[in-house]
Order: sequence, then C-alpha cells, then structure tokens
Amino acid sequence: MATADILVSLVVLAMFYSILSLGMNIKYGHTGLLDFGHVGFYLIGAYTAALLVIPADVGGPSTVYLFGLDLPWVVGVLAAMVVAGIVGAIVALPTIRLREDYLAITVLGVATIFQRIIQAETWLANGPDALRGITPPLIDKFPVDGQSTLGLVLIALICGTVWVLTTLGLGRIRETLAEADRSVVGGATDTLYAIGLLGTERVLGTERMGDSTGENVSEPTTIGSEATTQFRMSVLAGGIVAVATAILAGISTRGGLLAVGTIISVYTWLVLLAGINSYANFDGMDYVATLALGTGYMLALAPMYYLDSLIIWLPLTLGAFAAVIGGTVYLRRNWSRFSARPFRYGLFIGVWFGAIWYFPIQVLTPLLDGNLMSAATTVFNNVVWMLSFSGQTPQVGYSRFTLFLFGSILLVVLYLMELIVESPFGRVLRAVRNDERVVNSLGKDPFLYKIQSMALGSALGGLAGALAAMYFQVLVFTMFAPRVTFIALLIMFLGGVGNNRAMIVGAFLFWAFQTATTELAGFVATDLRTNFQAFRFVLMGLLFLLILYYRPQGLMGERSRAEVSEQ
Amino acid sequence: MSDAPILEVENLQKKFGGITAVDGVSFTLETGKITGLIGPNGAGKTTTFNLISGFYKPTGGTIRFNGTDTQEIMRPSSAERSIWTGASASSIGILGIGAGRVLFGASPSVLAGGAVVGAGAGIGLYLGQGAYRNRSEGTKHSRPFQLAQQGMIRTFQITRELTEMTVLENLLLAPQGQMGENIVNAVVRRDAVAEDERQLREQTEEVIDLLELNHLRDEEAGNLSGGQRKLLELGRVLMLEPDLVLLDEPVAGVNPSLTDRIMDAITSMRDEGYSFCIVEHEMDVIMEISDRIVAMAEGKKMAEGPPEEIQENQQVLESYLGG
Repeated sequence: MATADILVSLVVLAMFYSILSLGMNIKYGHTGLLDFGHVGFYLIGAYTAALLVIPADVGGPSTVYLFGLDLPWVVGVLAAMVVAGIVGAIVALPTIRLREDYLAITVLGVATIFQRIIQAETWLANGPDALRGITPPLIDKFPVDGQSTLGLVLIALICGTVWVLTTLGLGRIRETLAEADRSVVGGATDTLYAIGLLGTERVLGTERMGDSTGENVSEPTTIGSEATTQFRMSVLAGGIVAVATAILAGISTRGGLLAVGTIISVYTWLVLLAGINSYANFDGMDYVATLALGTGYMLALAPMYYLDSLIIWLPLTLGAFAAVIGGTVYLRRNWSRFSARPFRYGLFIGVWFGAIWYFPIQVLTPLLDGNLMSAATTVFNNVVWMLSFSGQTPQVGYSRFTLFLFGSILLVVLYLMELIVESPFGRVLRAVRNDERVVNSLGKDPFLYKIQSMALGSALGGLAGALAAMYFQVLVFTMFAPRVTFIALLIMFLGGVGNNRAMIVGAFLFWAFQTATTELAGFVATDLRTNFQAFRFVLMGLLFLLILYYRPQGLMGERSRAEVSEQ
Repeated sequence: MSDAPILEVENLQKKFGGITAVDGVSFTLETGKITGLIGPNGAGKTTTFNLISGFYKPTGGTIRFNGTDTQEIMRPSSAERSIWTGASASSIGILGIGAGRVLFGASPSVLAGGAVVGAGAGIGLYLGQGAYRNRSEGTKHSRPFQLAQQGMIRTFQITRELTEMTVLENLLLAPQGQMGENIVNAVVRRDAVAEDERQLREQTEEVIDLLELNHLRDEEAGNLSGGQRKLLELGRVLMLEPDLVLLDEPVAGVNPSLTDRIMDAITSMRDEGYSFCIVEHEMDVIMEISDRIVAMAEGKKMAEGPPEEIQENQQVLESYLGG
C-alpha cells in the first residue's frame, strides 16, 4: 500500500468521525447534554443503512438478517439519519429530565441495550457474527481511468470537487491573513488564489476581491455575501477543472489524466502549505527548531527499527524518548519563543514528524540500496496522491471516491450545523446549556429544545453510522462498544467544546495519532504487536487527562465571542 | 387600563416537608401599579414569587393572572399529551413485539399481537402514572414558560444571567416567538430570519442605550459586576414587554447611583402601563417607589396598604427590629 493510501484512509476515517463528533458537539457542546450513549445512535444508523441497502440473500444460509431491501444508498443514508433521529428523540423523552451525570448514565445504559440486542438477536442482523455483504455505492466501477464514459464523469466529478474544496480552503486562509493584517497583497497566497480561481473573479464580483475582506460587518446575516461570492467563484473554477479533466483524460489516459492528477495534487499540497504557514505565523528560526525536535522524535524510534532484540532496543528507545521529551520540556520552560506559543510548537513538532515519515522515511530503503529510480517513483506517487498506479497506467481508486463522497457530505453537514448554531435556535441551545431556568422564565420550553438537540445530534450519529457501514462493509456488534462514544468525546475535547470546526481538527489529530501508532506497531515483533496496540489506549487515556487538565477548552477553544457578535 | 387586578392570590399555601413556608396568603396586584412585597428573612417572599411565576407547585390556594387560574394556563396542551401517549405506546409496543417473539416464536400474527398488546400496555402505563401523580400531588403543573408566554416575567434574587453569552446575546435571547428559534426556519428561510434578527437587533440597541450598557455590549455576562447583572436582567424584561413583572431584589448589593437608575427605569415603565411586584430589603427604596405594600412575616400576610400606612404599622416595625 502506497503511503498516499494510508494518508487517504486516515482522512476518510477522520471525516466520518468528524460527523460523529459534530453530533456529540450539538448535544454536549451546544446544549450541555452529556450523552454517553452516542454510540447507540451510530449503531442504529449503521444497521438501518446496512439492512436497507443489502440484497435479500447474501452470504448463504449461515448469514441471517431481518430483511435486505437492496435499496440505493441515498435512501439508506437518509433513512439511517431519520431513524436515528427519531430513536434519539424517543430515548430523550423519558431521560432528558435528568441532570448531566444521571442523563449520561441512563443513555449509556440505552446504548448498551442496543448493542446487546444486536448481539443476542440472531434473526435481526446475524447476531454475534458479522453482517457481511454490504456493497458501497459504485464500487464495482472502480478503479476508473479515462477509458469509459462513466469513468470520465466520475474522475471529472472527483477532481472538480477537490478543486472547489481546496480553493474554498485557500479563500479562508486569505481571510484569516487579512483579519490578522498579515496579508501581503500580491504575495504567494494571493497569487495561488488567483490561479486557483482560474480567472472566475473576472466574471463574478470582482470588486469583492482585494482588501474588503477585513472589514467588520455588523449586519446579523448568517453567512455574508462575501462568502457566497467566494463560494460561487470556487464552484465555477471547480466546474472548469472538471470539464478540463474530462477532456484531457478522455484524450489520453497516460498523459492527460497523469497531468491533471499531478496539477491538482500539487495544488492541494501548496494550499496545505499556505494554510500551515498562515496558522503558524512562524519565522525561519521557529521552523528550524520544530523541525529539529520532530527529527529528534523520529530518530528516537530508530533503535526500534534497526535492532531486533527487545532487550536492546526497548531501553535505547525509551532512553532516547526520555531525552527528547526532556529537551522539549526544557525548551518549553526556558525558551521564550516556545513558551509563548507552546501548543503551536507542539503541533508543529507533530507536523514535521508526519512530514518526515511521509517523504524521507519512505524512500530510506531504496536510497540506501542505491535504487534512485525506485525512490523517485515512491516520492512521486506520494506527492500525486490523487492517482494510484496499476503498473504504468494512472487511475483513480475507490478510496479517492470515498474521500470525495465523505468530504462533500462533511462539508454540507458542517455548513448546516454552522447555520443552525448561529441562528436564534442555536442561541436558545446555548442558553439552555447555561441556565435552563432563565430559558424557562423567558417563555421558552427548555424541554422542547433539548429534545430537538438530542434528535439532531443523534441523526448526525446515525449519518456517521451509515458512512461507517459504507466504509467498513462489515458490521459486528463489537464495533459499537462504548469506546466509540469516548473517542467522539475525546475528539470534541481535543478540538474544542462548542466549536464545530474544531471537531474536524480533533478528529484529524486523533486519527493521525492512531495511524502513527499503527505504523509504529509495524516495526515491533509480531508477538508484541497486540500489546503495543493495546498500549496506545493507555496513551490515549493519558492524552485525554492531559488535555482536560491543562487545556479544558481544547486546542481551538470555543468560538470566540467577538466572532459571534461580528456575524 | 382596566380596573381589574392583574393578579389575585387567594389563600396561597406551600409546604416543604414539615415547614410551611407560605401559609394562607391572599393579596392582589393592581394593574399599572408597583406593589412592594416586604418582610424579614424567611417570611416567604421568594417562595411566594416562585409560586406565582410557576416555578413551584402550590400546596393549596389559587392564583389568578388576568382573571385566569395560572394552573389553567400551565396545563399541558392535548397535543403534548398525545405525543407522550404515542411515544409510550410505541416504545412498549416494540417491547411487546420482542416479548411475543421470545415467548411464542416469530410468526406475523404473534408479532402483530405483541405490538398491539404492548401499545395498549404503553397507553395504560402512561395514563396510570398520570393518575398516580394526580393522586399524590394533585393536578398541579409547574411550567413557568407558559406563564411567561402569557406576559408574566420574573427576575431572580441571585441573578441568573447567561454567563457564557455576551450582554447582547443575553438580550437578544429574550423576545418570544422569534422566527429563527424554529430549526427549520433557521436553515430554510434564512433571509426572513436575518430580517427578523435585524429588527431585534435595533430593539436591543435601544435597551442597551437606555441601561447605559454600551461599553459592555460584547462582554460575557459572567464578567459583569453584581449591579450590572441586575441591570442586564432588567434589560431582558424590557425586551419582552410583559404585562406583569416580578422583580426579586432588583437593587440588592447595587451602589446608590445605579439604584437610582434602576428605580427610574422601573417608574418610567410603570408610567407606560406595566405592572410590577417587587421584593426588596432596602426599606427607603421600596417605600419610595411602591404604590402599595404587602408585608409578610413567617409565611403569613401581616399588613397591606399604601407605604405611609405600612411605615406606621407597629407590627411591621417590630418584626423588622426583632422586637
């Protein structure tokens, strides 16, 4: 598996966990309902979608389930949301009168009941055995190249969407820079944005470009017209890219698709770099320092990789780690640059660590063997993440389609949640979180709002479940252990309670950690691997504790009040 | 303004275990007037407030707001009752299907029978618990939001501002029937909601100007001083245009100049036709502002009348001086 595939699967996992955590965030972050049973609605969504889309007889007589309707996925996903939402509301009716911890315990009980029902009732969804035969949408058409019309349409769709999302992201980066008065007009970001828009700003709202972004708009509109124009421009640019992709890939699979895939991939990397740079606001010194520390952590792992005997590498690795961690803590205490922005530094050590793993480490073996061609190919494959290669032929694999699909769904969900949270409805939810009696005394029924919040959050849990069914293609009751709820909680606290966008950051960090430790486990002897993978739960627990202790508001914190009043 | 009293309290009673906090109190609040409710600590003033505003269920007696029994106002609508019955029926119905399957096997007739029996049991269970509750607590309801919708708004003794929200948001929250409070409107009819919000924003700015809270507009309410919080609570009331305002110690712990401002705001609102009932310990303040005074002690009404008369009342003076 190419390293790019690992990265793509990481992002896909992070995406549907983002949706799961967004549901949790509606319940706890915005309304203050501590729902330890969130996984129950994830379960309901997963099994509802699975039973609706699965054919009536799959897997022979040993696989038993209630029904298989063989419906399209659209129906399955929507039904999963509706059913999970309704069940959420019904569960909420008797339990929601309870206060925080009692509510948490009762809903945890309900989720466990759901899990046990799936396990015990063999007729429902194959009982304790796995429910197999869930076919994700269009999977039989993949991998696609430029040979068929359907392939061209799908490739164009995926490339266009990636372009739209990347350009939208770049637009936000520009805005952030402008707000912080750090934008250099005509600088690299501006140039990149002009390229990304493909000249569409000439057609749509030119006067909006330039320096108007930083202006304070005190109008209480939910989404400013600025954003709408940007959205239109990005979509138009994405459309152009889609058409161009279809034409080029149609002309020549080898050349055209390769060229388009490379351009789009490079564009996304550049935007990622611009985003990282805009967030960091680092100068050369900061970059070098974080790079050194990141390299230090990577080097600390070296004994593990090169030495076979546990008795030798374990103390060496632990010792090296202790040294690097000690060095980090020392710098954190004594170096003003670090101590001024400890979280940013910490994050960047992680970013460098990942970057080192993604590029140099992957080509270490071929380079040492003197196989430069192979090393160059690996680097190229990792850069051009859009394409996978079957021999010499470039093609777009199913995992890229999943990325496109989940990414679009996540974007729509995030947009809707932001609308809801910023509306008067969201204001009442926050008021309920603060003090129910006030809401009551102002003539609004808190009960009604809490039920709606539970239904909405559970529906998102159900959506995440349906996507999980699509992604894993197999459902077992053990996948729906209370652990999942706590992962969603961890993601929420990691990102920032009550901040929708932070869910994505949190989910991404969580899965980056998971992927890193999984990769790490690959270095260890087979018999130790299970121990290692169990041990990372210990690490995760520690991480959770440290966050709650030192940064209870999460990495991004709650949306700043100033931001709210500006909108 | 009509001459009918806005609120009539008749023989109001509230027991907490063995303690009778309010013991047969009767008084009326006149429309368009400020009525002061005074009494030493433990006299039952705040409990009376909680009873009137619906936060407590009375043990006995009646409260009529604009001539209607408040218990009548707070009665759950039949739609709401049918939702509860339906939810109970469907949940127990599903259990019935499960039980039928376990006991008699999974034939369609058994499952349908189980569903029907379960749903029946669910309805019975819901009605049964309702009847049981009526027996043990009487048909009393505590749904303050329905009273608030009818135009009776209260503030709290210990201010309950929404600490994590800004002053502006605290005020914007107050008005009732906002279009964007409906989740569907919030997503689908964004333009209309934004227009609604713009008007609200104008109204809010007026209130902020009136209370001179401009410099604190975007401050989180949790960072305000005690007096500013009292002002903010009053501001929330101003956003609502209620018929009757219940103020629980509006100037406790507030400095004299701010007290004057709050009192000015209250009297000018009274002149516009609002009715007030105020609990307050600051004797000078309450005597000056009130049109009528109700004095309470140990859960009972001690005296009622114009301020001048109450100030002369020997019983009241004694209870305050502990004599």
